Amino acid sequence: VNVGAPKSLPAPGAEASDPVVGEGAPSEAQLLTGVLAGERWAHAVLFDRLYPVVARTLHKVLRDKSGDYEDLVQVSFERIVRTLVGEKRTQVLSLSAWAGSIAAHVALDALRGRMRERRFFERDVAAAPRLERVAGANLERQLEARQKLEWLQKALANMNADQAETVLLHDVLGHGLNEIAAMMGVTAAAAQRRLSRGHQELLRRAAVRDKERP
Amino acid sequence: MSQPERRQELDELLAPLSDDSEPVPRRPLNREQIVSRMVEVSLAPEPRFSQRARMGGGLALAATLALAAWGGSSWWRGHAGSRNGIEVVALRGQVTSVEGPLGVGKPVHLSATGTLETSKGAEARFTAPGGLSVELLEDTKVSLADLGGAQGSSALRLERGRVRCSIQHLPERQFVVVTPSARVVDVGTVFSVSVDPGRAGPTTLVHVEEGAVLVEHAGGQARLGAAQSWSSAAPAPAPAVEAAPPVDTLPEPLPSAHRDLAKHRPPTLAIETELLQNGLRSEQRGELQAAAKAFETLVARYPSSPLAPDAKLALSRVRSRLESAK
Repeated sequence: VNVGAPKSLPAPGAEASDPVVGEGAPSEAQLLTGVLAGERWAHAVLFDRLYPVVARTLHKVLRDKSGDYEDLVQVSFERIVRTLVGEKRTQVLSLSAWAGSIAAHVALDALRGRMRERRFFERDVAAAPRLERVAGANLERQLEARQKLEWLQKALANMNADQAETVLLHDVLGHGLNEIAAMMGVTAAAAQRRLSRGHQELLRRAAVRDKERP
Repeated sequence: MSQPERRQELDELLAPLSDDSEPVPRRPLNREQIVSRMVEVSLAPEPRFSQRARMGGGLALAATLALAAWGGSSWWRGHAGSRNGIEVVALRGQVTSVEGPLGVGKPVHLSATGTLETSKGAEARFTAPGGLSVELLEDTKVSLADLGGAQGSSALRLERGRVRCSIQHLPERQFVVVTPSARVVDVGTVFSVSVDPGRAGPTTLVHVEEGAVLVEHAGGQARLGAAQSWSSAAPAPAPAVEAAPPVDTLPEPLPSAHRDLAKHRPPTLAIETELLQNGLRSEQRGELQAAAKAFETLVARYPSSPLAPDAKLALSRVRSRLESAK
């Protein structure tokens, strides 16, 4: 599963003054050692290395230009560092994939927060220009695309959190079940159950929606 | 619904998020600020206070205030309405006020209320109006509730750990450090106070670096001058000197690069204090060999300790007694 940096988004701030960026860049093991030691260079390199996947994941889930984007990036990296220096760091198999899963978790939290704050529809207004570009000139298709996105985000935000995250990691971000199990600290069988129940719940909500349609 | 139909419907439902055709937009980002925050988190990995934890902090503050009221202290009550804020800076590690964790190296202004706490390996410093500067060493908790402004009398309640205070003495103003077993009244000085929880109850240790302090305790008063120390350690049911850690297991003092505060703040203070206390207790019990061993260990292992001068004096005294006994 490739969740690496998209070519369309270069790392935002690899500075020439960073002695470890570029040739002779540190390995993941060196990076982790530096982070554990509280070294600033290691955190800077970690940010540059993982920012693309974090940005891509946040964008895939949220699909808007909300003003709290920088906050979400910061929260994602705080969680990344907190987990790296915490007791669960041995579960990290692939830094990039794992960082994406953390960003997905942050994005889901953000969606739930927006639901709670009843700001969901205001955010959708902000998202409208993007959808216009995606959907082309057909206004009806634009509206339909917006409604589908809105419905899916609401469904994921209101679902069981573990199930929603599993669906997101598997179906949207493309992780395998074993990888998801390692990321979430459960067995592969438990991850499979979460995915299956998540699918059932999505289909159930879709059925309810279809019945309520005029 | 068949499995392929089910999969197809799921794909359609998830399509709005699965679309990869749109490039991720570039957005303005303060990279340095985020990296700084990452460093802070890695040095203090505990999560920020949740709302529930904030409520808990509020309860702790209420308990602290109730304790202060129960203590019946008469000093500094009339200035509550004119309290000034303090400036706090976390020097390293996790430092928390009632308002939550503080970022390392970022001075913040706080009202002089609630508690300030350093965790293991953390240090902080705060300054208050009137020239008061207090350093909190690791694993220390102080109550700021009775800390006044530049005028009148004010007090710092030390619940555990060690503080090093520096204050310019003014006749019209009194600054006091309050511990469970003593009040340390400054007489224009630089001094440190520590509270060791201990198995037999908290023990207060006062050490004066410059000037003088007045220590008020259950047994009376003691005036300490420069390089003098006082301990509230009870003589009787204390552990013998053998309980002190063996010399070869004692931690090394931190390398000089880590000594970013003043010279007189050993990171091994708890062990040094225990050695001095054990020596004094052994001496009081007449166990002179054990007392000498404790003092010798302290002086040999921690020669730059603020307690070393006291240990040397005590060692000299004990050796004299041993010589006399021969």
